Amino acid sequence: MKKLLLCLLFSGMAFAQDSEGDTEGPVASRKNEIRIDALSLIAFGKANISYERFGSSKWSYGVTGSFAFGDKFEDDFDEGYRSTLPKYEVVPYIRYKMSNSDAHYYFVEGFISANGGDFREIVRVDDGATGFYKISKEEYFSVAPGASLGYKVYFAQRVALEFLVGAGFNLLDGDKSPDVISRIGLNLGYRF
Amino acid sequence: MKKFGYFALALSALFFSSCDDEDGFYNEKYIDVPNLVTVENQDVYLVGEFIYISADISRYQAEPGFATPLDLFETTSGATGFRFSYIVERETSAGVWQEVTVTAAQMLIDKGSVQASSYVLGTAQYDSSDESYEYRVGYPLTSAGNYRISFGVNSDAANLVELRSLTQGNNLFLNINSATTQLNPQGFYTFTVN
Repeated sequence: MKKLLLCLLFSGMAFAQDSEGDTEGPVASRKNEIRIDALSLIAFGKANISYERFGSSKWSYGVTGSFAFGDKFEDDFDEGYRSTLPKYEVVPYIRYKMSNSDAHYYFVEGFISANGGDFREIVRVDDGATGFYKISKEEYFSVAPGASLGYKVYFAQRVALEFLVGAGFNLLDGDKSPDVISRIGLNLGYRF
Repeated sequence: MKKFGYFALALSALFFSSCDDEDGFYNEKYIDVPNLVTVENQDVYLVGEFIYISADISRYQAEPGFATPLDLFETTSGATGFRFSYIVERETSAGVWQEVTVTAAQMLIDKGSVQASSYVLGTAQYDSSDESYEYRVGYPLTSAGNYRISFGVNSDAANLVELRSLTQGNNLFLNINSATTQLNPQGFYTFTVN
């Protein structure tokens, strides 16, 4: 499976090399793209869908929406292995392409993540006569500006494979929200 | 190569992000309550007698820093017991100690329950009639010699008995560190059987 993926990647890059040099090539002429994040879907039980709009320059912009649907994080949260349970995230972003090729390139990205979920902590409750500890659950909402780096390659001028790594820092609800929001993806996309 | 450096930098950020406060166990609460478990001391122990270890832990315990006592039963959502462990060793030659192995059937169980082999896993069980967790179990002394008792299997604590609630499901686990003055600085209660 790993070999197959590598073959696909290298054959795609070779194809991409062939189509370099076109000023407004078949890839660049398509201005819209949608993607799903296979890594989040498989590893984290999180649906992650992105839209990206390409301009005529090296800049593009878009938005990512994600929500958790898997049981693993929820089980970990209930069993006390994590204090937060991220449930949803909306991430508007802007990207700058770092090479002239449209078929494969590195890019940098700035984003703002609006994210929310559940938070749990142990609190002491006092009824006047006795006290006891209990697990308290509350919701949180925060906003995290951040940055990412990525690499994108196109197959057959339409099918995109994208690696993305980045992080942001939550600014709101600091005592409840996660300190760091990671933005990691292995995205499969279609450009049209 | 330069661009590979960007990715290395990004991966570093990723590792950094994994070092936030998400790690840990959030169903665990630790408190300190001294002198909950005692070795019932007697001046002379004879072969054939038993040495008793006991605990009588009210569900309401004073907690430093709070005006009201802590309700152990409510905190643990009705835990049926608190568990702790201890090891009995006999000196086989000068300075050489060997764990004594017993079975639960050889022990005198007055209150609570035990599992025993080379160490004893004791459970102070909840008695609703007097709202306390109770344990009193006698350990058989089958041969003469010098003995020592230490609390906690694989525990580094020298002057503590560590108790943990038998909490069900995803409710709160309460861990009690109970300091005791019965142990020597090395963490042992020593006695001789004649």
